Amino acid sequence: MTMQRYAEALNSALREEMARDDTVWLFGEDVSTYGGVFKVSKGLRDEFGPERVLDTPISEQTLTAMAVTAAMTGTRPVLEIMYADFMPLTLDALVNQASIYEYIWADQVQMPFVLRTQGGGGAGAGAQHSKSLDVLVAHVPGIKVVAPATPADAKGLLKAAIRDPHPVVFLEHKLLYNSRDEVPDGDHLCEIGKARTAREGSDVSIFATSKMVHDALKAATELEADGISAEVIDLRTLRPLDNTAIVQSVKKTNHAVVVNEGWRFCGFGAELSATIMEQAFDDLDAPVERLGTFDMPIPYSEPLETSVLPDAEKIAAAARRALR
Amino acid sequence: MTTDIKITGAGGEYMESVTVVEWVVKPGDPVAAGNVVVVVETAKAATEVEAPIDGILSEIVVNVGAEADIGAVLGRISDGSEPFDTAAEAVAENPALVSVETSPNAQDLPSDVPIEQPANGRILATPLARRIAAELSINLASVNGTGPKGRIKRRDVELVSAEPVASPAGSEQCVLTIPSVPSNVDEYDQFAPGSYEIRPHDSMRKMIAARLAEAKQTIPHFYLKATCDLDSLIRLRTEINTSIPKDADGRSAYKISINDFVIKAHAKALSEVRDANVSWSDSGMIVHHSVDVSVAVAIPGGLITPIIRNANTKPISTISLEMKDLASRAFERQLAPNEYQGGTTSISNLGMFGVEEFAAIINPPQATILAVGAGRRVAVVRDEIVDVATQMTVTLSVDHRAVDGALGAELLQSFRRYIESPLDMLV
Repeated sequence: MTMQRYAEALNSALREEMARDDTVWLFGEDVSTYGGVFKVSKGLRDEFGPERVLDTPISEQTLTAMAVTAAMTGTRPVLEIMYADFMPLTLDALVNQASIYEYIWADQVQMPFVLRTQGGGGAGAGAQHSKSLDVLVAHVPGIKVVAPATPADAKGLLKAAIRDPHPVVFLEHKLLYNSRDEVPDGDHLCEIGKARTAREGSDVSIFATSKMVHDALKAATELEADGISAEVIDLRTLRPLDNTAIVQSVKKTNHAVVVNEGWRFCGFGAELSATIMEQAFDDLDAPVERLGTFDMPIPYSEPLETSVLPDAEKIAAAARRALR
Repeated sequence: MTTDIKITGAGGEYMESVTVVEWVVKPGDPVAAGNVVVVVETAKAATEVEAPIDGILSEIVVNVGAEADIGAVLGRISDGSEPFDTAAEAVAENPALVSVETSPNAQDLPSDVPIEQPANGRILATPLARRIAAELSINLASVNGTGPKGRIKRRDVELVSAEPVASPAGSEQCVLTIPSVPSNVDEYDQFAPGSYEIRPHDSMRKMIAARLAEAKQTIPHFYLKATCDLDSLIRLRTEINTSIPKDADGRSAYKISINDFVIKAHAKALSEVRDANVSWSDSGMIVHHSVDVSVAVAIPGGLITPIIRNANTKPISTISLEMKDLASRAFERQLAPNEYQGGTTSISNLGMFGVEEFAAIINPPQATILAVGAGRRVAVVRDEIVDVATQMTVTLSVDHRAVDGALGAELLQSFRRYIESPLDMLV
């Protein structure tokens, strides 16, 4: 095990995969010379050369179409979209090309590319740089969506995503880049589509992704002081969703809180909530509590921003409501 | 919109005013049409006033202890169309920026609406609670929900399943939780939509359902049957009835019925076999000092059991007059609770319908009930000769926890002796 920051773990994953497979290459805005605005690709240009680590103009739509065609023609591109807020610009390539070409052309085409991006609020970055648009891509069949919460999972999942023969959208969180934790040494891989029990508990299950896992863990600590045993399930992958883990946990605790940092309306929590209702209805002893970001643009002002985003306090309150 | 709760004169023209004895529900509590909301006392009886509509008790106008004239408004029920003070926590869902300060809380609010447990007959229970209740054969109507809106949760079902059978537990009154909603609505699925209508239960129907279901499920009943010759009793009754003083129109001041004799005979028998004049409780046998006979009286929409107190010591004529008065007032639902609560045994007579015999369900916390069939002319064998006799079959239902077989048989034997030698009742 090595203590690493989340950004460093991602950097290791990229380095290891580029060294292992010379069809892997990186491109995006400021990823090469500058090393990425969050330093995820730091040092890789020096190590692998400007041919495999490319700076690009600001044109997310074109970049994503490039990723699609580069993947189709036999390489494994890793595209960085600087902010998840720019994801709408990538959607035509994702929704009308990447997600359907394998289907249309059956075995003739493979689409092994990774689109990395980072989202989330809490950094005072304002309404255009704080969103979590997970569901824009999770909605689309044919695209895998992962959202690691820890450095270890960041590394293991990014390596798995690069090796995956299908398009993967890799959702990072700006407030997690500096978080430090142990990362397994060696060729560490995490299976896409498998949730992780971040904390065992018996009274209520909290299902979360990305940074919300950490808020859920804080909430669980707070709840423990009240004698409430909360289980925290880090879903890690939004699609394909680990239904088995979700149902197992609900069967154990009979109470569920679902949290996703995206907007609550039509958000990922709605999918989780419906899944629980469909697959664990007879195990529910309370309605599912659903948390998301309040239905409005994310404010720049810190107190206002704090008030609209889900956090540990709101998660703990939701768990208590579920247990009434 | 609110609807007034009024006491009308329909219960009896003699009433001029009533005193409020008890508000059964608190302001803000949900009420269902037909459920009791307030108990008032008239000169003659305590009367339960039922909610005219489903809704929430929004206001008490006449407080406990205060008097109100007939027709006066006692309280008001809101149908929920306007906000009610203590429930006015509805949150506007407008996510306008100006509401940012309060808006985060809005999403944290559960989807609960301020109005509590719906009065449309549906039981609120979580899926898990329903599943466990089904597995344990627990009727959700008997479970008290402690979740939001009175929702039944797993803990509530488990509490019921953990409890031993409800019993009088040392108190003379059997305390029953009367469910405020009808039992499982899933039953509706059995019938084609449109092939039925739902008639809401009134409080009497709910009381009957709850008490008798509980009795049949928790009391270990056994049954003793005896056939009694009635000829002597019929002769005696005719003699008595012809000797009753008549008024100017030639009408008797009273007329003794067979049932009056049955009441007297049962009471005399119980006063002889005192060990059967008891009630079971977990903490000890309740041994009654007096013999008070509850007599089941069918009334529109249900039945009630007015009591002839100390029936063993009362003359038949007194029993007859009391019974007539109680039955007619029962018919008008004008009985005070102490007139129908607290008997030590019961009699149910379906003989007038030609029912030959039947077995009745014990009326808790009593230990016995006598089911009386019709008198009928039958061929009997006496001294090796076939003869014609009038006979009546009675069935005694007995709570085996309180009264054993031999004791019950002794009681029935004594009853039969009085019926067949009726003069003994009079001396």
